[in-house]
Amino acid sequence: MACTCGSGHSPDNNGYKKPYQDYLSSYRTLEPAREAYPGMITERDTEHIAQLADIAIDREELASFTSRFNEILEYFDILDQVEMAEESGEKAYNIFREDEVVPSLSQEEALSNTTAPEEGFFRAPRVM
Amino acid sequence: MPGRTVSFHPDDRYAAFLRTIPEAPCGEGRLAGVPVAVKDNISTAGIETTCASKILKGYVPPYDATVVERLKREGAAIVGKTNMDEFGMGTTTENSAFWPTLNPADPTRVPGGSSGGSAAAVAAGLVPLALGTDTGGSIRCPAAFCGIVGLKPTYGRVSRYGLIAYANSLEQIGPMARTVKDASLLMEVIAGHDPRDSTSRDCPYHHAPDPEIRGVRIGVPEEFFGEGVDPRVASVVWDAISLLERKGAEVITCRMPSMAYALAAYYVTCTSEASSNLARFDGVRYGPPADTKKPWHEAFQEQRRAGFGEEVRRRIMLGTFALSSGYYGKYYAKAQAARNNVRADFERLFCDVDVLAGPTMPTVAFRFGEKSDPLSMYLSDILTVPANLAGVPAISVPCGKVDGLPVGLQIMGRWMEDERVVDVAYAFEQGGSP
Repeated sequence: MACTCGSGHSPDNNGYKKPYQDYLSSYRTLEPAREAYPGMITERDTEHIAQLADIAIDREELASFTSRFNEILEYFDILDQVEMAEESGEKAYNIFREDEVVPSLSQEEALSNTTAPEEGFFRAPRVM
Repeated sequence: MPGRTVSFHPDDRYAAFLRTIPEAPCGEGRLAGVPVAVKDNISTAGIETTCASKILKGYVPPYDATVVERLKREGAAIVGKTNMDEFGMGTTTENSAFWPTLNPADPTRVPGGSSGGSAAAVAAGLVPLALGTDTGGSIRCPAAFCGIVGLKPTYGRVSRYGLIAYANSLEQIGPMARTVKDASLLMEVIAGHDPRDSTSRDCPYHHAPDPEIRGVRIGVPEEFFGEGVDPRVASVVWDAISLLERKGAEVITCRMPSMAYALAAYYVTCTSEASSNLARFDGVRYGPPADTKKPWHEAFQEQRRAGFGEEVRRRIMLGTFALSSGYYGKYYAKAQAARNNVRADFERLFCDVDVLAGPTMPTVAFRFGEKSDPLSMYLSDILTVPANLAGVPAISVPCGKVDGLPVGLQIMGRWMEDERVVDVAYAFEQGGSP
């Protein structure tokens, strides 16, 4: 399931399913909003992206964020002209080292910037 | 035993510093007692470090970045943390969550960004040396706008350990100073291998700048003087290149076709990396605390709306979109292909020339508020982003003025040839500023 923005952007279904696709599609489903801005992202898409990015967005901000996004994405369309090379010229490789125990932060130092640690642990909002 | 300190009570009329250390400890070494300003995205043990963001207000790192350790080892006094665009996202320092910094060359203008505070502190004479960071031009742009020297080292030459990450594959810490010699000395102190940064290379920098450039081949891609470059800036930079030619360098014009999509490739890459990097700011380990009574996503979302400024939220969202299912191929994968083309262009050109030269910025410093729409601000990074995409060294050295405002000459070199870009900049500096 691709992002349901209904835009003219071509999706990249390279024949395999990404492991997080089910998670993303169950996370939030939006109706396609095709008519508003064909080929561009809509305010509903902006809301959806904000949700994926875990950034709250106010109603009043939606219009301006959306129009800025569209200006920027329109500029990014220049990348459509780039040919995909068969093989990347980049020679990336992993750099490993021995996993040796070396001095590091104490538990106290690691917790020094949290306001309410609990029994030597960080406190976080509830997940479930 | 009480150690030595440096008293630091600057007249910070340009608002370069976010905080200063009135009695800064110092020691013995090559920088004994020298006051050094550090950009606020570089960790300093015991000194608040915020990246000019509300989301890190009150954060006091329990450890030093490697570059800060190295400064201290050479006796430097860390006298303050400098203002910046929030998380390095900007070209003017107006995106600081706290206040804008003024350009000492003209206080009605921005100092450039994102290392605007470091540049202004050096240009105003408050410190001789400062550290900046450069993800897409954030050292070179403010150096050019404020009329100082700024070097973005080869990727991997300076440790990023303790640099609060924005776009790991692009950014480097680098020196800012009033002269090439001072920038080179600071580079000597901060460069070198660090096992705590897996991208660090074992290539120390020991170099005394040499102004002899006879026979050096300088490539000038015509794209560096293309659309959007102020003709008056272009003319000052051409005069600077002519001076290098008179000093014995050979000037060769060339082409760099990948410039057409370098900026788009840069913005897709940096926003994608930012969307992942900035996920750590959740109010659990540092910064103002999240409401632990609320469900995770709700608490997290509210924390980030309140803590991040507009440009940071925009870039996180753009990156999230570029990496999202269905769009990865159109944006991120294409941006990486474009990035390879930029690298290939540099490799090809560096077979025939030793360095590339052109303007650092297409214009002189903007007025405050002049770049209010984000795309027009992004476009001003066109001349600086190629060096970050390819990981090659690049320096900006003052080369003249337009309407009383400084212009920077940018010299880019081969991978790991930071010494050569320093030498060419030094040759220009010695050759007599206009």
